Amino acid sequence: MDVRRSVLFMAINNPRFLRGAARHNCDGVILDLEDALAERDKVRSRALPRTAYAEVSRGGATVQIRINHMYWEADLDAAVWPGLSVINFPKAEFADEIRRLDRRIGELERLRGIRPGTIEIQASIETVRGVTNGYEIASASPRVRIFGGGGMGYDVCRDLAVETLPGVARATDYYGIGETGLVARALGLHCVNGVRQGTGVTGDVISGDTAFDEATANRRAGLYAGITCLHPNRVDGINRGYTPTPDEVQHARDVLELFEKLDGQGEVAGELNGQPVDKWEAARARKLLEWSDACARREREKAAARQRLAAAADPAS
Amino acid sequence: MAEFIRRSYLVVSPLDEPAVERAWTHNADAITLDLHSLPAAQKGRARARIHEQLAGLGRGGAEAFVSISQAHLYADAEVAVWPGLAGLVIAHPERAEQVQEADEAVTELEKRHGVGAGSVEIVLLLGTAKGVLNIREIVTASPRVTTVGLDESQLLMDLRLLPSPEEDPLGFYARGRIVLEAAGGAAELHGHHGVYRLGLGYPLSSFPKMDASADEVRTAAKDGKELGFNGALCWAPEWVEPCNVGFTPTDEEVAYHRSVREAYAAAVAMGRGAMAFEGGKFVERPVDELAKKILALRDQCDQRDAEKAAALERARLPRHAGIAQ
Repeated sequence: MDVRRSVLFMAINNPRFLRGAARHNCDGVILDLEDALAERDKVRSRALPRTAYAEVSRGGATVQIRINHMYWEADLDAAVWPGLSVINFPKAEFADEIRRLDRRIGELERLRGIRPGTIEIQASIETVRGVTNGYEIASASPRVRIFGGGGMGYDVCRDLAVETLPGVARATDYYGIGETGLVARALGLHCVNGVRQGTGVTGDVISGDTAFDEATANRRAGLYAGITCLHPNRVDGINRGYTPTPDEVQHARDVLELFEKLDGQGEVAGELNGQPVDKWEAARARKLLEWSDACARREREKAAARQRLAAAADPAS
Repeated sequence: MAEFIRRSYLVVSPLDEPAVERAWTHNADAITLDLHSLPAAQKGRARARIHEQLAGLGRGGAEAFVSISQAHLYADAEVAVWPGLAGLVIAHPERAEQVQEADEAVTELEKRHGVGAGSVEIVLLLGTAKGVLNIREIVTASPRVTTVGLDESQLLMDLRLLPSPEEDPLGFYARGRIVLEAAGGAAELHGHHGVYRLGLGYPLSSFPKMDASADEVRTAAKDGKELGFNGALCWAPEWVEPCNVGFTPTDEEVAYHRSVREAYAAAVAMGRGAMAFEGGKFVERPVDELAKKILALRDQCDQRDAEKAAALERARLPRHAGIAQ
């Protein structure tokens, strides 16, 4: 199971952000070639990805890169190098765009010694046309493994000429997010839609206070695809919120134990502390324990990576 | 962005002569002569008045529409497609063929009645579940379709729903679908911005009270605007002004978006693509693009208001005032 709870966003041309990436304990990093860069920096920033991947993954984070919708071809040439896991394709609007990306990524994988099919695409739905073409977009290539969006972010709001209203969920939020969510699930993709996605992105993106609650809410709603954050303040809260608490783990173990006992006696349902226990609850408990193990494994991987990093920095120790 | 601004569609019955006579004085962006709602027995009498009424509707700068029924398409369109008509409002279409049939009828009538070829628009009012479901094929059935609206009380009847005012049975799906499909699904045929969208926020959208207060209407219009609607049908003259106001970006919004544009320009001047902004926000290109769009919308609204003010002033001048000098 892929654990990508906290994904920290950073402009690829800010060396300070790149150096610091390993310190923040994020599960993933998205390097941005798109809106975080001034137009005039875009050309020279294409020289950066090749070396940046090694640097930002020193703390064990997986690496994604967000390319420009408009400059997709030049950006792909700059971005597809060993060490990359995901191409984030913003403002996806048509299936043809995805087919073109898929072909070019395949060529570059062969040219640059990357196992064919390694690099995934996250198709981000950010515009009105993206919502209405969602199914065609998401099913255009097997590389599309991560999908979602469609809420009232800046682009949808611009398309409709409406205000962004942080914290207010509108009919158009529900419809857009509902459509992309159904598409993702129908095709078996990771769905990045969070409980509050679409209403959160246009508000306060720096405060760490809300991160824990958002991540907890997502996990409880069965949304495991992680939260992208613009500020390292939010990483810790997101990781903690997505990780089941010891009480929840214990409860899941109790549920499973009871269910196995019931099952052995030929019964289909019972009760634990007034709560029903049946095969659905058992499946949920199993899922929680798997996720909890996967989170622990991810933490160990990152800790090991950080240890190697520290050892390299201080060979004497 | 659409080429027109129609925040308020004042609806008047062609049989209510005083209402038709005064319709131009209410500052509506558009006026609709409502043939559709009349009982069949009265339609003939109403049709006989349409030509004369069309001639007077534009005195205050409003664009003139006639709302017609599928079942009476030919008889209604025969009188409605006439010089001075901006478009037909077609109630409750469910399939593309119905819109295509109307398109063909209009094309023929434009020729016969000396109306500019292709000039008559079609405004679609969806009022059934089938219509909402088939919205994409319906709005892309003809290039004449410039606008789609949601007739919620009709849709509630079609669904046999008797909602209590505390529940909003259509909000999350029907309104969301109309807005996003009209903007995105329609874009294939109608260009990047899709078609214009008519609707209000809840509860006035589902329970159109004739005697709603100005505040209620303004709030419903503002809520509708922030859902992505651009204008609404006005069932009483008192609805017009609050709709005009509610669908126009406010002075505060204009001031805010100007400051966003300044902050973004400053970020770019410093060689940055993004910058922290008030309230923990970021300004970057999409934020600036949104600001640009809202400011442009306000300019368009102001321009429309100026046009109407000029038309009203001309209409109110005594007929010979210009000659006296």
